[in-house]
Amino acid sequence: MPGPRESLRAHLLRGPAAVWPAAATALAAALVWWAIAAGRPQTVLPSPWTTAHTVADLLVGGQLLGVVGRTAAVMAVGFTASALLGICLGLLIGTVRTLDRALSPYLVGLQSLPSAIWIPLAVILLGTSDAAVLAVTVLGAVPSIAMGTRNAVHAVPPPLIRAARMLGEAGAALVVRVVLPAALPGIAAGIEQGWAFAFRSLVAGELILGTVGGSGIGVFLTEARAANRVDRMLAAVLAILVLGLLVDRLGFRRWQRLLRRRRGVLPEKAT
Amino acid sequence: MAEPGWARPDVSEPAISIEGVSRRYPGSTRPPALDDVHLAVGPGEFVCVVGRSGCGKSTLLDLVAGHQAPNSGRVSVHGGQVHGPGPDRVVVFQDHTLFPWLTVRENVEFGLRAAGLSRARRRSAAEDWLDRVHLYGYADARPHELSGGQRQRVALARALALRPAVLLMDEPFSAVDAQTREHLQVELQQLWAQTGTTVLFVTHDVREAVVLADRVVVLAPAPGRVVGVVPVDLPRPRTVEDDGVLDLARQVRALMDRTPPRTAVGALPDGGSAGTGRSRRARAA
Repeated sequence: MPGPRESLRAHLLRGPAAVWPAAATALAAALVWWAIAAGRPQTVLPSPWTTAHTVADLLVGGQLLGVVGRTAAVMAVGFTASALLGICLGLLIGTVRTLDRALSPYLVGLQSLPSAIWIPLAVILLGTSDAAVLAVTVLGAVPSIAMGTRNAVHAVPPPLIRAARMLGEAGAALVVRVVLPAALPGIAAGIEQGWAFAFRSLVAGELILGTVGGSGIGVFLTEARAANRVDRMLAAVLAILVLGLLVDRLGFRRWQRLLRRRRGVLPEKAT
Repeated sequence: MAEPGWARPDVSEPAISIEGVSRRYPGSTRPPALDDVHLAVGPGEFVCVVGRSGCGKSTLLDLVAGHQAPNSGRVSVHGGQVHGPGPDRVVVFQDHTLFPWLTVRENVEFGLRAAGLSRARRRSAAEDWLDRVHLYGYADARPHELSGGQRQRVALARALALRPAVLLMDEPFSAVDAQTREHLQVELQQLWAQTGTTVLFVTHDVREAVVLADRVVVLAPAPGRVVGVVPVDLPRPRTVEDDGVLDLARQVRALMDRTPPRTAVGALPDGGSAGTGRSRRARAA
C-alpha cells in the first residue's frame, strides 16, 4: 500500500487528468448550443450566455436552490424508503427460494414498467399531495433495488456461506453478518440504478402533480413556460443535472470505490 | 528430540468414528466416492488422509464436517451422530474463506461472536490466537493485504479460537509456496501439541502427511476406499527433509501406486472438482 504522501501526490496528479476531458465536453456542448441559438429569439432558444446569467440570478435570488432543495428533500425521503424496502425485499427473495419464485417475475415486470404510468392512479388514490409523488418514486425504485439485491445475494460465493455456517452462524444472523456484507458491492450497484429510477419517477411526478401546488420543479417549470422564460426552464434542467451528477460522484462512486478497495477488488491506484 | 507436551495421545475412545460409510454421487453411474469406509480417530490424534485426486478424501472430510450426508453407514464425533455443520467441527479449507470485508481480528472473532461471547473475551481470545500464529501486528489488516500463508494462519486461528472438538483440514497448505508450506507444517505441529485437539487432515502430498500425522490413512479411487494405514512413529517436530520422513513417504507412495482403480470408468471420477481446485489455486496465487 502506498503511503499517505505518495497517494496524495498521485491524487493531485490524477485530478486534472481525470477532469479535463469532461470539461472539454461541456465546452463543446456550449459551443454547439451557442451556434444553434445564434439568430433565434430568446423565447425559443436563449444563448448559453443568457442562460448562465439566469442561473446566476436564480442562484442569488435563491429560487434555484429552493427548487433543487425540494427535489433533493423528496428524493432523500423517497429514496431512503425505497432503499430500505428494496434491500429487505431483495434479501428475502434472495434467501428464500419460494418467495423468489413467487415475486421475482413480477418485480422484473415492474422494473421495466415506466413508473410515470402510476401517476394518474396515485392522483386518484392519494390526491395531488407529496404522498403521491413519494409513492410514484418508491414504485419506480424498489423493483430495481430489490432485484439488484437478490442477484447480488445469489452471487455470494458459496464457500463463504459454508464457512459461516461451520463457525456456528445461522438464520437471520447469517443473513445480516455474512450475506448482506458479502453482497454489498452488488447491492450498491442496484441502489445506484434504483437512484436513477427514483429520480426519473420523482421528476415525472413533480412535472404532472406539481402544476397544482407546492414549490417543486413542476411548479417552477410551469410558471416559466407560462412566462415564456425558456432560459429559466433550461436553468432548472441544468440544476437537476448538477444535482444528479453530484450525488453520483460524491455519493455512489465513492461508496462503491470504498467497498471494493476494502475487499481488495480495486487496487489503490486505479481510478 | 521429543519435547514435553509431544506425548502420544490416548487413542482408546474415538473422537471421530466412521463406520461402514458409503457415499455415491447423486444420479451418477460412476463408482461411489466412498465405499464401506471404516476409520476411528482417537482424541488428540493427528490423522492424515492421502490419496490421488478422486479417491474421496475431501468427501470423507465433508461427511465429518456435515456438509454432506452418507448414503449408508454412520459418522459420529465424540459419540454424537453428525447432522449438518457445527462449530465443534471446524474446517480449514484450501481456499482460506476469510470474510474479505472484515479485519483479521474480526475474522478470528467471527465464530466467538456467533457463540455469544462478550466483546472483551472475544478480543482477548483473538489477540491470543493471532499471537500464537505470529500475526499479532496484523489484527487491523484486511485479508487481501496478507500473503497466502498469512491468510491460512488467520483461517487456522479463526478455527482454533472456537476450541473445536475436531479440526478438519482440507488441503490447507496446497495453495502456498513450498517454503511457506514447510513453516506452516512446523507451526501446525506446535499448535496441535499446545491445544491437544484432534485433527483430520486431507492432502495429496504424501510427505506432508508423514510430517504431520500420527497415522496416515491411504485411500484409493473408484470406488473410494481405505487401502492401508501407516503409523508414523518419528520424533516431532518433523520436517519434509527428515530421513525418517522420506523413508516412510516412499512406503506410503508405494501403497498408493499398488492400487489402480478397480474400473476403467473410474479413471477420472473426480475430474470436475479437481478442475475447481486448480482454478481456486490460480486465484489464490
